[in-house]
Amino acid sequence: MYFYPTFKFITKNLIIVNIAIEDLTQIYPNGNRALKDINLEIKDGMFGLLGPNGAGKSTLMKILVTLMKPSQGKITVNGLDLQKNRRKVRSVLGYLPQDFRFFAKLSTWEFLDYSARLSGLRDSKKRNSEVDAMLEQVGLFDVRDRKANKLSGGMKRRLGIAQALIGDPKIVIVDEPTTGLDPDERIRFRNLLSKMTEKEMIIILSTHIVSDISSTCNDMALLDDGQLVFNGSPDQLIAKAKGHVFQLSVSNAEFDRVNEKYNVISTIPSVNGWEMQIVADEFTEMPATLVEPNLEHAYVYFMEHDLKNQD
Amino acid sequence: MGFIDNIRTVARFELRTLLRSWFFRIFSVLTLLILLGMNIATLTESGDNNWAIRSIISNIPYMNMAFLNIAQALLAIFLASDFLKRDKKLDTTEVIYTRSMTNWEYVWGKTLGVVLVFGILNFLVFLMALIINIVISGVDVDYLAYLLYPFLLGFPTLIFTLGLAFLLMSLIRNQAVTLVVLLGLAALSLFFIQDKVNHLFDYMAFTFPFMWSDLIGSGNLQEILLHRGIYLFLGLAFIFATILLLQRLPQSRPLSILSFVLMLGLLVLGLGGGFTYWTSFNNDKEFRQEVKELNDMVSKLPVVQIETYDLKLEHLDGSISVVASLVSEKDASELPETLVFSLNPGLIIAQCSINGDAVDFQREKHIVRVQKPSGVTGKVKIDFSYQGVIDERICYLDISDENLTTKHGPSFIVASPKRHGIIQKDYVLLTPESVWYPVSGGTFGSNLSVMPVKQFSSYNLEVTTQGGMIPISQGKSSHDGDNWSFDSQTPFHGISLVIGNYESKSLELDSLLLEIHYYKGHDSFFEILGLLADTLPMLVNETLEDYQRSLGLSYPYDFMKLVEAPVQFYSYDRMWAKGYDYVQPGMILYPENLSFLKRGNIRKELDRAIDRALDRDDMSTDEDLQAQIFMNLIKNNFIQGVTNYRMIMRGGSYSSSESDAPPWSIFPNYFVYANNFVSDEFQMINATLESYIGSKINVTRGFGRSMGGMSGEEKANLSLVENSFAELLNIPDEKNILQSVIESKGKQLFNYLEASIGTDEFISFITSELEGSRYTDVLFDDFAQRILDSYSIDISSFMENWYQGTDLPSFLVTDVRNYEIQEGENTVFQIFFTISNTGNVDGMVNVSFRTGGRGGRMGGMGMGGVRSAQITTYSLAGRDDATNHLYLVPAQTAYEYALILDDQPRMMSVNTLISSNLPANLTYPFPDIEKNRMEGSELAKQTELVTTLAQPNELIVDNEDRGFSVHEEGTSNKLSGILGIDQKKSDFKYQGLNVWRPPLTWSLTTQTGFYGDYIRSAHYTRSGEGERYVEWEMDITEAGYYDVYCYLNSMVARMSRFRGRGGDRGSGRGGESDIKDVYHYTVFHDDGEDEVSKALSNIEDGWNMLGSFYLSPGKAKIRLTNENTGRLVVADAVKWEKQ
Repeated sequence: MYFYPTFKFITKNLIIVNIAIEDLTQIYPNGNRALKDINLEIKDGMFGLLGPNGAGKSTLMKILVTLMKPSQGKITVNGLDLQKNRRKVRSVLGYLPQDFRFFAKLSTWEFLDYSARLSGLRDSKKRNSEVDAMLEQVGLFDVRDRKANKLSGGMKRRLGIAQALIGDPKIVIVDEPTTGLDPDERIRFRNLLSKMTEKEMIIILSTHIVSDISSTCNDMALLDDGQLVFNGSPDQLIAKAKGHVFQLSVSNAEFDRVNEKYNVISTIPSVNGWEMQIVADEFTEMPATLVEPNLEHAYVYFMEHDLKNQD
Repeated sequence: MGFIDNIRTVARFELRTLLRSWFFRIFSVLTLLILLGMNIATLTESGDNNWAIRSIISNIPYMNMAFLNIAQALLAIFLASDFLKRDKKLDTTEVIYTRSMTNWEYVWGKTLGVVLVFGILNFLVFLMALIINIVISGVDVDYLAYLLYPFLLGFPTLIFTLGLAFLLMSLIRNQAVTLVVLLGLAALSLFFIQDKVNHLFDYMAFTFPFMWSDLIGSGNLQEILLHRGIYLFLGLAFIFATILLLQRLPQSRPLSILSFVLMLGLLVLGLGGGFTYWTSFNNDKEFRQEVKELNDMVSKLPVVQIETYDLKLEHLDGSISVVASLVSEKDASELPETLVFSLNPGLIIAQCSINGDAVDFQREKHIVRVQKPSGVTGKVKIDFSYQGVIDERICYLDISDENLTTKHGPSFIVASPKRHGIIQKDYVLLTPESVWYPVSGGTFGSNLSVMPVKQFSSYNLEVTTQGGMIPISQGKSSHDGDNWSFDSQTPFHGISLVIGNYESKSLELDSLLLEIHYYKGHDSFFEILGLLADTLPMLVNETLEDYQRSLGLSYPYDFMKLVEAPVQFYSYDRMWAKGYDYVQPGMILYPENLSFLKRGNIRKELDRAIDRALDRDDMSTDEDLQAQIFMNLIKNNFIQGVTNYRMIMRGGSYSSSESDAPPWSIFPNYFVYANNFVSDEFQMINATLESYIGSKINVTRGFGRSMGGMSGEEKANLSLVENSFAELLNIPDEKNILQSVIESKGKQLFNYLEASIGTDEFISFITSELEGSRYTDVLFDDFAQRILDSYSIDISSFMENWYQGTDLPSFLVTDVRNYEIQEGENTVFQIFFTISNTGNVDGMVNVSFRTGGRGGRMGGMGMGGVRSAQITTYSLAGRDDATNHLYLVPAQTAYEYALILDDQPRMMSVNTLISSNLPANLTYPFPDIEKNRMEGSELAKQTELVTTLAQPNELIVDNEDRGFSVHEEGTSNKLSGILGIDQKKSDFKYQGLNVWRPPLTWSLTTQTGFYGDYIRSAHYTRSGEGERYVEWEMDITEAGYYDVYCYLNSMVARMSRFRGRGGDRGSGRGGESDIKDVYHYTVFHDDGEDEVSKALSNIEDGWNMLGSFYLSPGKAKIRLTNENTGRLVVADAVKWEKQ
């Protein structure tokens, strides 16, 4: 059981936000079990939700943003049951779904204005200035009159985050935001998110791209096959992989054998063959140097070794 | 506040999105354009139909709304299902769904958005209509109607459509299926269900009557509110159901519960309303049935003849209070023990007394049974005091339930409710049909033998009105404040009463006082025809005199009142009477603001007359033109002296309209309101006499009939072959043709008398009979006796067959010749013809001639000749001896006739009246004329009976003979068949010739130009590639060479060439080169088969040779396919003639 202070109300002025997930299980009508007994506490700051495709991330997101009712378990936000307090939770929520398109007939500005109104910005003067400020912030001010569906992929994603952030939400949930973006846009997008962490809010970033998390999150969880397999800081995850990442040089003949036997992180062709990075519990077959693991190494190690070892 | 804000926000963005949708924009622009066209066409053109719409000013917004309603109901289907489809792209909607708002707010926001979009469209449409209304329509603006119609007509439809679309989308979750379901429902409602169950399922209210009168308002407001309420509530219930079904987790439990409660409540209201509507429809039907059965029952009881009525009526708020005193004609001792009366069941009797003493009475629906107290002597005075309103369900019990709901309105788009008796706070309209005072006996029963008792009584009416309203009834009126009394010198069958805020004008004519009562603002015709003030009496007098001269009877009253009636006041056409209830004794209830009247748009008519006069350099004065307009109005609607042949396009085929008396014709005053012939033996004798009096002579029918299928007379004839008149009267299914049968029977009987007695003698006899027996009943037996006494003609055996028999005369006309004869300085024309009656009963034929003029070659005259209007007269005015002859041809007898005409005859037409001939009217054009010397003078001599047109050496197979066969496999249009939208199955064997859309099967039709002894029929079908064919087969017994002929008539092909309003085409001379029809015959003979093509441009009307062929004994065969470049192929007769 988690302990958390009980707040009677969630308001825009709220400072500390806390999401507690208890024994969450989701079984779809067709019998698919998407989530199983998830227990998780999410606190202020950027929270990364990592996991392979089909791990249940999107399901968890949908439950968090009140689009779906869990089969079992409970989510509380500042102590309030999410299912019983949808109005309050939705009023502090910003959400950017995975595959987000826009109403074809609205311009960038109009769409953001629509979101702003729905987020509760009633006063038109204030709303106008906030919408403009947000457009500036995401770099879309110049295309404010362009139809939203005429924007480039990156711009669309930025408008997506803008609509999630408008109206000063306390919880922002972003599902696979960088998929399909070119590297420049991806970096730009990450920077935008990092900037947000300066504000006091929870940003939950669900992704299967490890590098999205490494740069920004101070806390993370790993989902696999509907189960929570890790919850902690990225550093804690990296620590688990320490001493298990190796760099070696292999000849062409050895390459296939290594490739089959070990989890290869990277391969670079060299003069005599290949430079390879692998993760393994131990590696003694041939000369290899230990490498300081990064989050990607840690993720692979954890998924392929730590998790299996636990089994 | 958040609640409203969220709805507003969602609505605002929905509105913005929809307004930017191209689908919506294109649809809206199209709707606007169509309506613009419709408005301009309707509101500026001066056609009678358009006037009928425009004269009721609220019709302008009504028409626009009715059309827009359909358009937006369809558009809403697309938009509503589209927005939910958009919502199905979940990721897009998810960002909206995760916002803090309730499902209630979301769905209502969306709904409001769509409604606002339509609000804008409505606003544009109404703005356009209003501008046209103000600027060019020339009629006033009913601003209230502009506000009311959108809310009463459009809004409920829109909410229902949206609600249903949302709901179906939520349930089916498939846009395509939802669309199909909704469009199917719309089509079903528009094309099939329509007015079924009194419009209950017509959710778009397209056939629902919404017309609004300046006199009485809607006239069916309760029904409107119920009908629209049903759909509004159901629509709202569906929207609440959508809130509950929305695929988004709700965030407000109280609102979800409220949605559920409201959905349930509204559903109960909507369905409850529907149920109420349904049960009241069924109850009404049942009620009518029970009333009829009750009438059947009381019809067997004796009735009390009422000599005098004293009616004291007080008009209260929305009801009437009446004290009616009835005095019997006979003494108490001669009256039955139980006196039976009818009184409208909506009028509640408080008290009944006989000779001043209160008596018991029983009431069952409309029937009141009063026990005659013992000891009453002398004439009986029965007093009823009653109060209430009119239950219109007892009106028109003789009209079938289906006919009751037929649309009443000037165009397909606007409809008016049908009211028969009205009592409102500000208006009253009562005719005898609503039984507003007690009458003896019952009313209509389940068959025609049970009818209201018709008796002549004297009426004294006193009326007390409220608030200065004016009552109008039969007789001279006088008043003291709000107390009015009416006094008439003559008895009536029944009287009527109208009360309203009328203004009036009156005109003293020679023998009568003409009054016109109209509503304020509906009197612009006085202003337009202002110059006529001095000459009006003369104009009206002359017209009336002309009419009476042609009718042969005089007007029976010293007053004539023209009373404006609300547009909703409706009368059905009665099969046994020529008149409608719009005309009451001495009173015409003309339609509001002259709507529905031909040439009723006086202002436009005058403008056009002035334009015409200017074009022609006509020197007519303004007064002349005004007189002309006035006379047109009078003659077209009230006093019909001129028959105009009008060619009317009906369903793709021409039909001639012999311009039956218009519904407002004063004709009933001259006979049915003044006379009554009764007979226990022969039902409907009075109706047959009316038919004869009202029938016109000297009407030469030409192509008019020939294209329109069977005339009423012919349908009657076909029915009379199967059943006798007596039988037909009691077969309920035959009601639709009974009118024609009655008319034919009337002509048959009285033409027989006329032919037997001699035209002039008979007319003077019957005229004195009629004038001498006004306001009394005449027993037909006495009438027959007087004929026997005066002319020694015993009509009893004729009557026996006339009423009970099914034998019909059959006529063959042969040996028709015409000659030009020079007699000194004069040229005269002599015509010979032989008429054989091969039937077993005597028959009459009416032979008439079209003479003079250069009407073009008759054989190819097309419609040219039909346009000429003729002055016609009614039967009693006598015949024009020069061109019109009635002959009696006894059974199994032939006569040869010779006639001399001063003018050159162009065409002879032999109308066989009641006979087995089809067509009943045979025409003989005289394209050429031979010179000759006079052979005797006029004659009628008996000659040898001709029994067939075929010559002895001819082997003929006609298209109805046994040797004729039709081959048409797999050619019918299955889809059309299933939907029943293609060829309408006729009730009769023979259909009209539809040259515009010939049938896809070989169909039977009749024409005077086809071959046949008695039935001149042919098969015809749409042209094609030869996939359908017919064959004629004949047993040949003698070998040898045969000349083979086919019977052709180029007229049909020529007719199919006419386009548009054929009447404007002149003679067919120029048309002949157009004819591209080529028929393909195959003649089978000993040496194989030969194809023979016949180009119709190069044929003789009649027998045309296909060639000579050698045939051995056995079957000879000729085939004709439907391969042709023209529109249709006709298969008639063929013959083999041995060389």
